[in-house]
Amino acid sequence: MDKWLTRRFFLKTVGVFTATAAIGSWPANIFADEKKLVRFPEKTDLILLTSRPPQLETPLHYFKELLTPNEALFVRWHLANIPTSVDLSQWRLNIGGNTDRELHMSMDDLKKLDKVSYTAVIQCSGNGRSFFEPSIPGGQWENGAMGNVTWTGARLKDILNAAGIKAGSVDVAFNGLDSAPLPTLADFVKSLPVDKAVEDDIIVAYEMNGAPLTMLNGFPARLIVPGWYATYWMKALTDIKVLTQTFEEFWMKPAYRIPDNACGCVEPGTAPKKTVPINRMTTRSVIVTPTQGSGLKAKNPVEVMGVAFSGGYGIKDVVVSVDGGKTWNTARLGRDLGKYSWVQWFHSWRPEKPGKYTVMAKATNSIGESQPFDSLWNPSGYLWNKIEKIEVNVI
Amino acid sequence: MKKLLFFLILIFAAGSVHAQDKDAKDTVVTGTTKSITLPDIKTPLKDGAGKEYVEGNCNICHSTDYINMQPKLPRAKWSATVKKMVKTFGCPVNEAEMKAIEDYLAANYGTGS
Repeated sequence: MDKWLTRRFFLKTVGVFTATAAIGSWPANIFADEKKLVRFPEKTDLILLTSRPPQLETPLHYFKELLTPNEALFVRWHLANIPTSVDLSQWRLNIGGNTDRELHMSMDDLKKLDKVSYTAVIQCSGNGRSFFEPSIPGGQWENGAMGNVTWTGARLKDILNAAGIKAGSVDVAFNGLDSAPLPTLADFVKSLPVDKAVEDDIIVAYEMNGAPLTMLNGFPARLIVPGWYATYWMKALTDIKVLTQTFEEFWMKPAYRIPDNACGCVEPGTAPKKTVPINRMTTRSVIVTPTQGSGLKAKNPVEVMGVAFSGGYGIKDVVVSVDGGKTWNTARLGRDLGKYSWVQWFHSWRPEKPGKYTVMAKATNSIGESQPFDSLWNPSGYLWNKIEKIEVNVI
Repeated sequence: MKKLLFFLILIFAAGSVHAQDKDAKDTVVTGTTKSITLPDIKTPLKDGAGKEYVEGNCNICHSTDYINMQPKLPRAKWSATVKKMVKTFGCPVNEAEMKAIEDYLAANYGTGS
């Protein structure tokens, strides 16, 4: 009898994936739980989305830390030919277009400029895409396409002023070392309006958390546009071009667009009439502990913990509910590393009775932007910031 | 038996040294140059009619784990995706191959609708 039970248990727990892979008819969430961890150069074990080009997600537990370690930061490239070797003696940052002069800056030139350092959340536009209903094709990220990093570099404004922006400039375009395997596939080039590009806080970073950038996060230098989604944070940056007209190549239009309205949303399953390039991040909070489906013991204290951030306006408060949203408690906020950083939040909880509990967290930023109870849908699966619900079992 | 055991230990020892070597060498700095070696990761696709067209063509631009990663999609979504890869990104396939790829995706990674 024991033997039979053991065998049955084995089949249930281990055999399930082999068996279902052949049948292929199990609910999708069974497969969602089966995550493949892979190790890439200069990286720890990360969750594999795709291998070529690499898209790797940070496991949730790393967000217990205020700063995300370089080796754990997510990876997202668009085109298969990514830089795998960079000679700093050859690398140059080229600035030109509608400027008084052309510049070809070496890393030493870049480091001679005023050195700026701050902590900022980096988040992929599609972070949380896998949670949308109806589901949306594209990178099926959960919450791990984000991180909080201290960036150090030179102000983009100083670089542009050294080249001299001429009158009539409209956009500034950014290109990096990655390229497409086919000439018909548009090179990954992004742009910012010139007024945005000269803002004080945008930098060309050559350090992350005090170390040179990892190759997969954009060595030797990348653009940092704090408060905005990472699609603009061009990795392995080589070219900055000042333009006299709006830049509208593939990765600016039709890619990376959101509905042109206050919520950036449309009726699920429908297409927007008008779109704009994605820009500032929405406000959101993520519950890090306890995790979905955790078992807790009644009358034992538990620390509900997470992170919250917004598109450059800091976090005013985070409220936590342990009863599915009936009552809310103000969470204690951790150390403030500035308006672009995330803040850790904590709520001490002592579940009195056994049962199922629904834990929720809702952040509000300093200009009153908060999170919706129901998801706001858009066709590309961007701006995910629905209030999270975590179910835990108290015994 | 002893001989076999010794042989097995030798294999395991060689294997672990090899693994350490690999870890250490995937990032190399020589003078002013930093280089990495990307791992070769294969995620198999389901067997089915047309799989060879998917593997042969989609791999030109991206690993086919792009397919495994997606939620189950209705045929219309797969059709739009294949069209985007061919018409927008220029994947060099003809109409018949496009149809074979779409059929494979709808049959093996579809919602059945």
